[in-house]
Amino acid sequence: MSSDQLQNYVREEDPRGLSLLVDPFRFINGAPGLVAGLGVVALTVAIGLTGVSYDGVIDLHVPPTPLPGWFLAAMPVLDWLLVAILFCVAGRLLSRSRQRVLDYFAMTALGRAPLAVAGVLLLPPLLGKILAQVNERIMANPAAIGQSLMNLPGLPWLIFGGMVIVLLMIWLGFLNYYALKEASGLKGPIAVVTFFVVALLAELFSKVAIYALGTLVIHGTPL
Amino acid sequence: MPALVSRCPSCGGVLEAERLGCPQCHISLEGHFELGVLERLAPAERDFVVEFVKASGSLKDMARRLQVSYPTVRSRLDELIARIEELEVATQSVGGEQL
Repeated sequence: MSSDQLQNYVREEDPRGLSLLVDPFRFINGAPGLVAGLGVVALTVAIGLTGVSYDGVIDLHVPPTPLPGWFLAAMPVLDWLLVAILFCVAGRLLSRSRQRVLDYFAMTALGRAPLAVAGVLLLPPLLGKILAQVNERIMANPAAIGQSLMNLPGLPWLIFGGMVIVLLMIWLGFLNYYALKEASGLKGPIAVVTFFVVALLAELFSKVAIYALGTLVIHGTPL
Repeated sequence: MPALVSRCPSCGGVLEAERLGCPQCHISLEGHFELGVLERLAPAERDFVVEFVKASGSLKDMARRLQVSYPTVRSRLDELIARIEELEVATQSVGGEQL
């Protein structure tokens, strides 16, 4: 068998076409993947510095009150590191496959791409200015927010943007599932169950970590 | 020389060798010679094993030789491990039945 034939056999099940949107990790991984992933994380940090809050591994908001820049910048990094570490621990515990720690960090960083795109949508020139008005109205009269939102300028754009963000969150879920699968070598139902359990834990841990960091900023002592 | 086939093209059963011959002195031996796990793998799978050994078991080296990514090679290796385990179980159960 020639080298080309063996290469074709090995690559037979690599994702192709549209499936690359959710599983690009066979083609971008290791050190180059980490460099690209760090670019994605850097983009989320830059978006955070404009006022968008990544307050959880699957959350992003425009906060009603301004937060310190370093805190906004730290949140997306914390979220990424938590996901990477928890995926890595789960993979090491549950998979018999050979694994590279680098892949966990690279693939989960790349897996943040939908959050970076969603963050761009929340920038002030796009949905950010509309959300700032929503926040103002909530602060002014929380009881009448339903009626108040009905005459909000840009409401159709807000609804459209919200739908796009829902699609981005679905993309985020698939990308991160494949990040875990490709980095750990887990397959089948065990990969699915591990993903949901670890994603839930990552969300919980990120909320606690961000809350602890926030109280440290405000009171000088964590929690 | 044709590649060794390990499955019957008619019923899919596991084949065994019944005749072996020496190409130098033309002696032939007849009997029931069981094929080992490696001989039962498909030619592409056997070549993968050979390349893996030649790469000293390094997936990174193998990925570089084949110009594919590490996760791609690792995924194939995982499938091959599962296939070998399946063949071992099948061999053991056939052996058990014969006893």
